[in-house]
Amino acid sequence: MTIAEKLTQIAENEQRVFEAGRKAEHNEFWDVFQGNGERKNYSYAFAYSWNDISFKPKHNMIPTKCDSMFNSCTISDIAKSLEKSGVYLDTSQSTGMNYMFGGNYSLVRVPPISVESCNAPAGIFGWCSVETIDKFILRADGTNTLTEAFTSATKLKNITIEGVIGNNISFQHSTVLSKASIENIVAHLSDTASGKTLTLSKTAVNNAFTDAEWTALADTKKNWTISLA
Amino acid sequence: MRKILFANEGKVLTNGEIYGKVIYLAEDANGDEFYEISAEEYARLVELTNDENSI
Repeated sequence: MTIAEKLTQIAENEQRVFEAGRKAEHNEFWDVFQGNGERKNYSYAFAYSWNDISFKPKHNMIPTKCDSMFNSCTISDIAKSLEKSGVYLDTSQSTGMNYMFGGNYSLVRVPPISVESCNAPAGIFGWCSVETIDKFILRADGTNTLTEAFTSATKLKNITIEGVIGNNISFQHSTVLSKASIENIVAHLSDTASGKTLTLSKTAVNNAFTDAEWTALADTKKNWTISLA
Repeated sequence: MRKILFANEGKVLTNGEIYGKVIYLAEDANGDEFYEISAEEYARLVELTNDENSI
């Protein structure tokens, strides 16, 4: 090997050592931050100054508490960030999920979010800019209370519900909610609930349906009061 | 047959909890509890709600 070749190899090795050092620091930080994958309380964990560059979790997250988990941060596509990191967020065991995404006005998309263990996830998608909720998984018995779950979710366009909506729910501020999403929401209203109200944006409904289409859809759930606000 | 309530121009219907310009009542509801408020008053209530709960 010539001296020039040796110098080139030294330079390349130096870069490899540097990258290895950075990766070791990254791993050590996330191992500590996430308790080597055992962390359960993620309340405010990624709030405020977290962004798309810094949000690179190493371990899967299965929180029991995630109140304000992404409060007022600027992480825009949580689903994509998790995919890139090769990890997932499983909220099916979370009992506290209040304002989970509140104040995040950079937010565009969230992965499937389950509230099956959470009685009342107040304001979970309220006051944020989310456009797409891959899946919102409710209890099959319809007992979730969804107070202010979508208050001021003005950019919400796409949502897919699983489970049953058994209590009052409002999308009154979601003026760009898609036709498919509205149909999906109505389809998941409880068939046996009584005295409950679904509130939708009148603008969203008028933009999505003809009068005849809307009447036909509303009539599939005559046990629900449906308000167009 | 489902009853539908329509708010007059510039008004919003409410029963104190639910607000809407058009209310499709559930089949077992009679709608007697609904009354009209002005659109301005509704806008003030919405703003108040947002201020109270802003993150």
